[in-house]
Amino acid sequence: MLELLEESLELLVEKNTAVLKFDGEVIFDNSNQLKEEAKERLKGKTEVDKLIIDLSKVPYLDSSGVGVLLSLFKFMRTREGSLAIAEPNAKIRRVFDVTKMTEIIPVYMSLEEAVNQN
Amino acid sequence: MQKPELEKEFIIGCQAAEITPLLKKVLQEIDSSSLKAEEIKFNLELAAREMLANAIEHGCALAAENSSRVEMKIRIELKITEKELSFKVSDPGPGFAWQKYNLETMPRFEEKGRGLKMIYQVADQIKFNSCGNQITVIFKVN
Repeated sequence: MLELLEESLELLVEKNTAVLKFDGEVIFDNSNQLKEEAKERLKGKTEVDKLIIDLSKVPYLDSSGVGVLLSLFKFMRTREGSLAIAEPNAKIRRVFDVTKMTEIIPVYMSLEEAVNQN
Repeated sequence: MQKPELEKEFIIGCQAAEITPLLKKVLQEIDSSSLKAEEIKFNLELAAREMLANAIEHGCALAAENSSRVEMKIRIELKITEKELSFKVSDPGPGFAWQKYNLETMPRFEEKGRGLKMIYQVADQIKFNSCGNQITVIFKVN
């Protein structure tokens, strides 16, 4: 399981900005592990106050996946930082619409756009 | 009761890895029918994924806790008539008190509790059996 997780999560840090890239579905079966692994990696990067979650390689994210995003939103809020989502596909955007998640976390159609936002 | 144009039953084990291949088969069945409604397929997939996740995460898990003898399978029924598409999921668990469940208010910052509300949002109708281990969603066909 650990090996699988390492392949499905990547954290790239440049100055105060981190891009967390998930690869594969983010669903009830792996959501807890992904959430804990992401937080663990971010704990060591105290300079990061802007986190972008890149969903370009995520084919689907269910209600548990929404829970992961909200958990990371709260994690960033405790360090007075921000969270944004980049490149969700049409199915995931529908999940965001239905759960009203876009009222809480900003969503951008490209990673570049998300990085360039304040 | 209208005669179904298509009626199919599927059975999967209590494994998350079985969801995507199952949905592929379900969507292929819909494509082979006369129903041409991309919006319904889009919403059905969203609802079905939450229904199957609940069946595995709650139904199967509770069934395993309660008895080692129960068959750990999830039954799925797809039915299409001229007027509607219905998708039913039955899990081996004891069910839950759906009568007391608020389906309408979406949580804001909580990390859990969105699955059934999402299903309720996208389906035209949602039904449970009395003990709550069987859920059906219905989509109206225009």
